Amino acid sequence: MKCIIIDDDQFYIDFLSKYCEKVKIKIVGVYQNSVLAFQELDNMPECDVIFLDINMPDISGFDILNNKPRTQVVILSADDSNAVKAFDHNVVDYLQKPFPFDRFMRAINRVKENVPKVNIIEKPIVAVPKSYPTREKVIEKDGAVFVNINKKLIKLDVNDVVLVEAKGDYVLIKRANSENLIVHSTLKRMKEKLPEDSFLQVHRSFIVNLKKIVDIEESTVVVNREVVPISRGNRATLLSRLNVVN
Amino acid sequence: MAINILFVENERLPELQVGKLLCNSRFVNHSVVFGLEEVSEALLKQSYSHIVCNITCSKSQLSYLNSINIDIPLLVICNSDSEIDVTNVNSLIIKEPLSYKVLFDFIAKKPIISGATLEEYAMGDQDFIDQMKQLIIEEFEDNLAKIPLYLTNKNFKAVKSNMHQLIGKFAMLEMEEAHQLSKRIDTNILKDTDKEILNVHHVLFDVEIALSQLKCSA
Repeated sequence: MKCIIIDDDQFYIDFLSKYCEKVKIKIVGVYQNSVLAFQELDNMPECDVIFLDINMPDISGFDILNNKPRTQVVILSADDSNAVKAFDHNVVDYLQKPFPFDRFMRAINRVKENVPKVNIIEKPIVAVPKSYPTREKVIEKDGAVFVNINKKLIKLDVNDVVLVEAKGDYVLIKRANSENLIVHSTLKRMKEKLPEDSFLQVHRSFIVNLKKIVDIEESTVVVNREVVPISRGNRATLLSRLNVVN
Repeated sequence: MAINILFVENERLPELQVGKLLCNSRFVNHSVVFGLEEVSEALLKQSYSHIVCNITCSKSQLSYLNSINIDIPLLVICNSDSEIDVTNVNSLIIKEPLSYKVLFDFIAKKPIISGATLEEYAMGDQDFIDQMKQLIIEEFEDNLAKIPLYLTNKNFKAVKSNMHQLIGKFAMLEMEEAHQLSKRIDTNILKDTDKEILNVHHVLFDVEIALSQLKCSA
């Protein structure tokens, strides 16, 4: 796997380089000067992912995103204030500095999901079944939710579910105490099956477990340890479902 | 850590030692009380990170100091040769005069940084930790040299840029107050400059302390 780092902060270039080195991701380009990165966007070396800082002098990360880089982008930022805007640019992930190695690996796994034939040695955090089922994927029986993974029905403890994220033809189910699951289903189908009193769709790509919410900012919600964007239209609904002391 | 020093002076002199000490140095939050008897009341009103007592070493003052049973680092400035036995484990006793360096070293004794996050994120890789620490040291030195000049030249865009880069490092070192202040400065300094300049000085003081502690641990 190959990557490019665009960040004006030498500390985080070195920090990220060290993480890349640990999982044998080859760094094919480093740009500390965002203007230079912007100018060379079309001539950059081929890579699988660009790690892009948002707040840079003169040319911001959004200026680069607006120029539609051909490669997948993972955002690096000191705060989460730009998360929604970044996800609107179809970035793969948003890493808030500083980030631990396992969070970095989650971003890499997200990149891998979209990049065929990548050669990552690290054990993936997401449990991806070898072959995906083709028939009905989510079955509800006696109040319990069962998901079909690799022709096996697995009972899903809904209380353990942190969030469900749309991933093309699949959904990624993140759990608090068990490994994550990928199921061939849609967010709409999951929404129908998950208990309405505990789950809410907060973004076109995310359903969250209300009981796992830790805090809410203007445009993001932290569920367990995950930062999830909230669509403007869903924020009021979310607040109305919570016990907010004014 | 919020640095807020309670200075205890002997008497109301026209030029207080504390005033002279701080006017040309960092903008340190502080209050002054006159006489040890005012200490208890001051401590009830607000919390202080350090206490600096300028005393004459009378018997009553010494016994009062010994009776203060608080977990706040205490610096005693004494003009007498008599031996002082202050049981407070955080205490430091010096003879006059109090210099900025002595005050700074005293304040910097109280840890404001933590290496726990860095160690966790580096997964025990000591080379990685050392490399990251060295980078932070170099950046902090650069900040201390350049930011005061940016303030003098009213180059607030550069101050904003430097503050923005400090946010992630403060988070890494678990310097919560400096982290919050730098985020605030980054957001507000271009629109509410006057209000934020004092916060920049507070951040710089934290950077100076963190730098001294990083150098000790490096």
